[in-house]
Amino acid sequence: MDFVNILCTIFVASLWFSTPFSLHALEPAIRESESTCVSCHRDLEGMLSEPVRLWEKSIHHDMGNGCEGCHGGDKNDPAEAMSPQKGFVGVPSTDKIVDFCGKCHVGVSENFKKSVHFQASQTNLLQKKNTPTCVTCHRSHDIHKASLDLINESLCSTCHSFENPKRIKEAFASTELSLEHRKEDLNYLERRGMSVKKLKEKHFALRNTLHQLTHTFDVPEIQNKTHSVNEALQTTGNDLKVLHRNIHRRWWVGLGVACFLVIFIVVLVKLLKTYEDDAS
Amino acid sequence: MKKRLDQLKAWLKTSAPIPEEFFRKVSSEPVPHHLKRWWFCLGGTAAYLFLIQVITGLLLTFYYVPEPGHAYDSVYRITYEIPFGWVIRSIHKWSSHLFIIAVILHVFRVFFTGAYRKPRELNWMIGCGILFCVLTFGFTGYSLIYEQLSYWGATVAANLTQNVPLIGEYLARFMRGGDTVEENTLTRFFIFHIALLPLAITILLTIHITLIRLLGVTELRFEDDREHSTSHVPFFPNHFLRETIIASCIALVITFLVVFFPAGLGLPADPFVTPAHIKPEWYFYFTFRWLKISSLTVGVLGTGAAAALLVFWPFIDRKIEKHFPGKDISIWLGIIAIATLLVFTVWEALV
Ligand code: HEC
Ligand code: HEC
Ligand code: HEC
Ligand code: HEC
Ligand code: HEC
Ligand code: HEM
Repeated sequence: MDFVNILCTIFVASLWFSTPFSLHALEPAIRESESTCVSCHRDLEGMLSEPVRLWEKSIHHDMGNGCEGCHGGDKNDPAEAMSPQKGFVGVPSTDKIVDFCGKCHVGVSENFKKSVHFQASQTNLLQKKNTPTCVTCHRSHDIHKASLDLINESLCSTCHSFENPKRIKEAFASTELSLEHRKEDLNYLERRGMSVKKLKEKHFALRNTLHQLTHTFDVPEIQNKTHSVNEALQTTGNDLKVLHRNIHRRWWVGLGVACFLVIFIVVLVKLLKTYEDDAS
Repeated sequence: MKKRLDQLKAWLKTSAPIPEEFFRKVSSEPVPHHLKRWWFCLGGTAAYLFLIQVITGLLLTFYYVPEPGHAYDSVYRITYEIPFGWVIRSIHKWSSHLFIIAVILHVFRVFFTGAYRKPRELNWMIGCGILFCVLTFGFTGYSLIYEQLSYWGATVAANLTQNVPLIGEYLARFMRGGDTVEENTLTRFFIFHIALLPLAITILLTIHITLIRLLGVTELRFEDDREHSTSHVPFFPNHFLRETIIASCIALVITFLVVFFPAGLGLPADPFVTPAHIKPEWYFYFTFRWLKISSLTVGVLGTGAAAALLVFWPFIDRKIEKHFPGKDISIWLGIIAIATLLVFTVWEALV
């Protein structure tokens, strides 16, 4: 049989082979085992099973934070799962939610406690206003990767005007975009073999100072800081230009080597031809 | 000038009195005409890539430090600080992949041309020895980087080894030099990678090529070869030139890969943080996938059985031929095996 024929057959055969095999047939064998919380609640009714469905699509599911991470309890023991002795805390009341989430999101809850939103919830009962907690904005089970889209008119204006929220959003948006572009640039440089460890650390710190501000909802502070971050981005831009130039230099040298090799190959092919012509 | 050259020649002749006849004989071995096809040159290609690995690997050893606390940092230094370190490391990395591809394709070509049949069974088995060495080469080399993925790759491999019946415990211990992947592991991986495996491959390769010289390569005649009056060409210069051309083409490919996709570096190894997706290098994907879909013991035993099948194939093939002569059953079994290999590899790559 001709070799090319064989290769084609292999290709076709592998296609044919892959259909019955395709993923779902053997899926159960590779899926991780479920916690008892999930498997029991999945089969309950209404409010009790809804969390499972929402949570399954959330970032907490993807990052391995299960029911027990928030509600406590023992995920391996169906009988004692929800016993307070096993640390089950049940459903938090509204004023407990900040600490409920703050157990893991320490920095965020600290900053949130400095905000007007939290302060307003701590005043005495007579003046008490309707204030948001973590779940007002992020909800409780269908939590996704946070973005500025969370600041939107329909959410914020349930309680007050959208004027200040809009300022916050605008200040963040432009800086966020520059930060994002810079990160892509750094990733590109890294893929092309440049040392960007220090630059990445700097960038990470910069992004952090900005994100720490989100939950303070402090308009002047946010406008100030975004401005200084923008300036910092401009100064580090020059370091990156040098790296880009380095990459281009590598490409030119590579091109030179490639040209040499191509010429070398052509000469050898010609040489081989003369020998073969001699032979026949 | 000419006089000087003649003087040098004369001096060499007196200092190293090897008869010219010897060189002529060694280099002008007649080579069958069908070897002009590139897939018949894959063995030579692998040999060339092995040479590149030896040279670049030697250079890397000047700066690499085989100690858990320093391994990653030394690779970092090679990649980003030492002049041309990135070139050497990237060549070593890319040609390791090409090396393994070349060896695998070489096995395929030997298989599908039936070149393992009598009297070349022993050479096939020696080839299998080389193949296992080459794979171990890749595994140990990858582990030396000591980044998260390579560290956990080694850990998983050792844990899998534990499931070999009877001797698993000892084998895993031997591999790690203890109960976990740590100092002893790195030292022994290093010694295997830079000393024992190169030595083993060199010895096996010497036997491999000597046997090819003694037995000659399998004679095949293709239809479009008929027009040629000569069925053989001299090794030097014809075949040698052809191999050099292929080697240069590969150098071209490596240049491209090195410049545009230089070797990078993941996060440093952290024994306390298991990464979400542990994956070995691509040439272990099919074993890894197979181990995932079968139970551990069956998985490990199956892998062993597949290896044994490969090693003893020439004899199994002979039995098959005896019972079903002229039906090309071996070819079809080979195609099925390769299809399975491909499916498992692609499957693992996709998830
Ligand atoms: C064997 C089935 C079962 C298991 C296992 C189970 N639950 Fe429940 N869960 C229920 C039922 C039934 C209810 C509603 C009745 C109740 O409140 O006791 C409930 C209610 C709840 C509630 C609401 C309680 C409230 O005060 O309204 C939460 C929160 C909860 N479960 C979390 C968990 C977590 C976390 C786990 C795992 C550590 C878990 N459950 C395991 C059956 C189960
Ligand atoms: C990110 C933390 C978090 C995780 C993870 C989480 N919950 Fe909840 N859960 C909450 C909060 C907060 C509430 C209070 C609801 C509110 O105020 O909106 C709640 C309420 C509930 C309730 C009461 C009914 C309701 O909707 O108000 C049930 C039942 C419940 N959770 C079950 C689960 C189950 C089952 C899981 C696992 C699939 C789970 N939760 C995972 C935070 C979490
Ligand atoms: C008034 C609405 C609001 C409240 C209340 C709120 N957040 Fe946020 N949160 C946001 C917005 C908007 C972002 C997105 C910021 C961005 O992408 O720049 C965010 C981002 C986050 C992030 C991503 C962190 C990061 O740096 O990217 C986490 C985690 C988070 N919130 C947790 C919490 C927790 C925990 C609470 C309660 C203590 C809380 N949030 C309360 C609006 C809110
Ligand atoms: C058991 C620890 C734990 C608890 C409790 C917890 N989270 Fe998380 N949360 C995580 C982890 C882990 C991640 C994913 C890592 C990350 O992005 O920070 C995450 C991610 C998030 C994100 C997305 C962050 C991003 O990068 O955009 C939000 C928003 C968030 N959590 C909100 C909440 C809210 C609201 C609560 C309380 C109802 C809560 N979390 C309770 C562990 C927790
Ligand atoms: C549940 C009600 C509620 C929601 C929803 C809410 N806030 Fe507020 N917010 C308040 C309260 C109460 C105050 C305290 C100041 C006041 O007296 O109005 C406040 C104050 C503020 C302030 C201080 C400046 C000002 O306007 O007085 C900012 C900024 C702010 N919120 C941003 C936001 C943003 C952004 C969102 C949407 C992501 C949001 N808020 C959603 C209740 C809410
Ligand atoms: C470092 C790896 C290897 C090198 C450098 C190498 C080198 C070579 C060379 C130069 C040839 C001559 C013909 C050709 O190029 O195709 C050859 C032939 C052969 N090789 Fe390899 N080889 C390697 C690995 C293997 C492996 C893994 C096997 C089998 C499992 C194998 C089995 C054979 C056999 C049976 C022949 C004889 C082919 C014939 O007679 O036509 N080799 N090898």
